[in-house]
Amino acid sequence: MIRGAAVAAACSVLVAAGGAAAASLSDVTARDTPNDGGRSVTVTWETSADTPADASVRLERVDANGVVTEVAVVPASQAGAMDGSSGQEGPPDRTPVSYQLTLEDASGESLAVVSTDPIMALPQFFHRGRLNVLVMLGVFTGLLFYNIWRANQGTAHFYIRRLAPVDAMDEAIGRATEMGRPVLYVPGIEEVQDIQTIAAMLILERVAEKTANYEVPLTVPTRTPFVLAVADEVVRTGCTAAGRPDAYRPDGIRYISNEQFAYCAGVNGIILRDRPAANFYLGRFFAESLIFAETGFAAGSIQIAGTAEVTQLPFFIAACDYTLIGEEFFAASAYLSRDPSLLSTLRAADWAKVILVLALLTGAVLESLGMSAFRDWFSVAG
Amino acid sequence: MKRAVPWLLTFVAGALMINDFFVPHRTHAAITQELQQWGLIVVAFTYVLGMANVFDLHFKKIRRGSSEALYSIVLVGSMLGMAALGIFHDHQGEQSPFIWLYNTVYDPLSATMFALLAFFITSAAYRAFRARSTEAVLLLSAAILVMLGQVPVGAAIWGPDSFLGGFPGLKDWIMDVPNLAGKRAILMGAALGAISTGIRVILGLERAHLGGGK
Repeated sequence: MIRGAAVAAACSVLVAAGGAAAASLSDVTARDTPNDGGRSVTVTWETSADTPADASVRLERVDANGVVTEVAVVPASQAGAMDGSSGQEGPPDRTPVSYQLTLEDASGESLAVVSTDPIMALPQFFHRGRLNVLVMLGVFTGLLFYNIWRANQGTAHFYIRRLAPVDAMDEAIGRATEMGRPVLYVPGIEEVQDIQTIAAMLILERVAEKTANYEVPLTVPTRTPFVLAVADEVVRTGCTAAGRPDAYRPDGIRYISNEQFAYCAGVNGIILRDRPAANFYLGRFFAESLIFAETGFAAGSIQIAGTAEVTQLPFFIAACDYTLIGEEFFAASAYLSRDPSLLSTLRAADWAKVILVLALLTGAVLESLGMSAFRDWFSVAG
Repeated sequence: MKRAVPWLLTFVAGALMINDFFVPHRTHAAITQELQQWGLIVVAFTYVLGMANVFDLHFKKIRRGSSEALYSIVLVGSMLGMAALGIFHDHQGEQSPFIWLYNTVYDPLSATMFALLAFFITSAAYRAFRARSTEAVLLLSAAILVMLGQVPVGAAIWGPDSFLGGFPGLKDWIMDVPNLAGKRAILMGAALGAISTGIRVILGLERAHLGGGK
């Protein structure tokens, strides 16, 4: 009898064989693997107390035509196995199959045989273990849309506190203008799909707009050619927005190398040869962060950094004049544009932070009282 | 149109990738995997752009005969030489010229760049730890305690069996309580900022990366 995808099929046959006479399998269940893409069934069992420690379970799939396919041989103590895991071909979806489990001793002698009722593998359309993430994402997106709607109504005023590093960007570009030296913009070392690289590209447009206005050469060395293509387009957009498309210099946007330290050497070479008046390090950085920042310090450049990479922040804070820390880095493009619809998203993030702080306090109190259900709700299934 | 189509592509690709986290269905996973394959193919093509950029920039320098021309000649020569070795010679095994050059030239140079970090840390720490303000004094004190807790001489002066666990105990407390709390706060703020930036890009509120002017 097929009892539905998520319902355990009861064991139907129990055959005691030779060997250790009382060794047996019990509570055998076969169920559709939850929260998966289909073609997978999970079989679980319990072993009796006198099952030999080195015993194994041979798991075989039996289709409707009686064709038997061996799935796995696993230690009996594992108490479960999955048909259709990690690239292995599992049973077809929506097709009844049953499983035969043979308990064997170390010599391969059969101790017990158990079969399950037929079961069907089914694909799921929603991962129920991630409902909490969907709820939190929905709340945050709701807050974003509400604030964007208020911004579009034109009635809301969005206060944003002063971000000294962003204000210093004007000062740095002004300094470069006075000194007649270029501005260096390093957009991190990650690929363009990294959110920090995207944030760096958004800030680059504003920087390109300002350098075009002041007629200051802008140098953007990139570690990957994809970032090169995007940076090229962003700088061109910035120059056009400034009303100075002629200020766009394609030679300024350079691909250096995909290798981390070759890129690092290339950027250091640019800093030491060109002596830029202002260095911007915005994006995701790793070991090269301090090498850049110290070389820039030695070259006498004013340096503004920004990253959400917690391990690199201390280096930037120690060696740069200004540092955008974590969320400040993501807020910088909105701060620079002063566009209400962008600023509204910062308020949504602030509201989300308030909710998170309240959740943290609630969790701390409930956990102290021995109630862990609230904390458990936040755990995310893999 | 010039901006609407790229934005629409961004929106569809972004929405599919977000859905991928919540929808385990095989068909959906196949679509997103296919999209990621397309991404890899596009990335592979951008290397042609990267090569063109390098050649263009350095040939210009060589033609101009600038003071940096020699560096450009070395760079272009090395690049063409390694490419030729990789294409025309067997590049499997330690004895192949390609691997030999990589191991004996590139690897030591790369390690040298990384090793510079030790000296840069010293100079940056010297500047950061100068006790010129209350914050700098706090930073310096915490750094000294953590350093003493980390090295054997610290435990020898004030061991873990002493009051407060000695220097190692204090180090653990600094790392596990104020340091970890600060780190987590930064991470949570950054995560919200990243989600917010992602949604701004997907919704088309931020379009600088799409190019094409305002």
